Amino acid sequence: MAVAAAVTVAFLAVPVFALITKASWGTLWGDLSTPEARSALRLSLVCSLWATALSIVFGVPLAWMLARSRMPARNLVRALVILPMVLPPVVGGVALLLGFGRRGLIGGWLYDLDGIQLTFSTAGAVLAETFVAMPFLVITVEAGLRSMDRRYEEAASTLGAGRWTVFRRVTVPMILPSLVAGAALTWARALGEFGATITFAGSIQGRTETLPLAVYLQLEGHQDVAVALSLLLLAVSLAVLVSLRGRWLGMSPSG
Amino acid sequence: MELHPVGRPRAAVRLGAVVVVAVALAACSSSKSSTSTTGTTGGGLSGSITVSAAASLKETFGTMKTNFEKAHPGTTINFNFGSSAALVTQITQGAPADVFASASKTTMDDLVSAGKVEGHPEVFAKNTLEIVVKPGNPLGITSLADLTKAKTVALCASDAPCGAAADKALKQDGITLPTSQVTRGADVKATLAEVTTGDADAAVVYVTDAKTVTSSEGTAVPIAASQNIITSYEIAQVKGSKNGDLDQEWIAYVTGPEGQAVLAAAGFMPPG
Repeated sequence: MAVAAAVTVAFLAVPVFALITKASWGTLWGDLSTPEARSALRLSLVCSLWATALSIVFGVPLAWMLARSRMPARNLVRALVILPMVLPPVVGGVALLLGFGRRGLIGGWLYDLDGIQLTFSTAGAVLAETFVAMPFLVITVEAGLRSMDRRYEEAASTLGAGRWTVFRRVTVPMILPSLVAGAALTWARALGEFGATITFAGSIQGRTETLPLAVYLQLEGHQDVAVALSLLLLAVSLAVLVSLRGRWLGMSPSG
Repeated sequence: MELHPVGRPRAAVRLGAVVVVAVALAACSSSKSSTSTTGTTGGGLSGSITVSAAASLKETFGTMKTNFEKAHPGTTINFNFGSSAALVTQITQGAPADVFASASKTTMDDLVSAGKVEGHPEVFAKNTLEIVVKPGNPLGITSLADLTKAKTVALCASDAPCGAAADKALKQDGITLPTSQVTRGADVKATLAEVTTGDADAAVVYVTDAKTVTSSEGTAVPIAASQNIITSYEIAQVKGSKNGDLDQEWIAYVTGPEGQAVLAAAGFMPPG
């Protein structure tokens, strides 16, 4: 068992170790300070934070419905929510194109209506990231809602609190760890999204070329820059992991 | 602890499984490059080689592969298509390519400087740029200058040969497209797809790629020769290839009359 585990750890550790050791540390700051790198970083932060916010606003009500209500076809809805998690990202991008592209199901109607085009726009990049990342929030919050002690909510309503007050002042504070963990996972997933973004939003510098897309394009001739940007993403991912320690998917914090 | 006598054989089984997986993986990777001997008797070539080629060569090299393998039974030509610049990065990082066919002199020179080329590269074709727009050309684009009318223009990445050529053509004609209007594709096929399947209004690709577009996918708009760029395609054997004979035979095929005929039919210009 230990040998197999050691091989697995090595398999996972070697690429990360190589990324750190083979980076051009001397030129790192310069590589990260180019206009392209700075615009990619800014875009990544803006888009991923928007995607996280949208995931919370739209995901929490859905998580509530899945956890609490006797909604018909609950299992079907849950399967639909999990789908973007297992769908290959580029397939997600193609699907988004067919649904929200200029000639798409909804997108075509939007375009004819007012010339609204989501593809090749920052909004499109946010859409793609939200599509792939929201499931993480919904699943985590649903788990939190299911596992919380509902007697406090009941006590609050017997004491005269309205439903929204109960939600705001009792439920949310109790599921806060799940909400925070879900938001962190959602943000990390949105930050790292590539396939759906490049297919739906293209790679426009300053508009849709987020960090992962910048890495991909920089590999063609500017490997040092690609590696520098990769290190940046690695650092962010590690920071998310460290901040989440023990709080994975609604488990009680150990730290 | 009472399970100890049973535990030891279990560990051995696990170790054995790990070893088997490792060997299988090693066998998988080595079967890509040729395993047969070079210069077999009876004048017959055999084995397989991996040709890393520019994306714009997909159709022509595919046709040549079918004809070549028919003429030389027992041989297999495997392809790895992509942007020439990305392919150079792969090869310099140790990817097992036997032959490299680039869409520009610059990218081939990069591979030569990296010391990865056996012998000298040969020019085997030339290509030039063309614009592809939505079917029926709704925006009425007739030249490079008209690209400013398009909401989104797809160009290849700046380091890819088609991207470098497009940037050069635009620059020498004094045309500046705002960055917010330009989406970059990793290689020429991805760039073309932005117009044919995506929402881009125009793409600057090669004449040979424009020829593959059906009327329902897009319309080709030629670029005047005075404004256009000519790029040279070069082919060479990669250093460290294990089947030099087959490599040279493939290179000879591409540069010879049969290969040249296939290239000419697809719209490539002759190397001369």
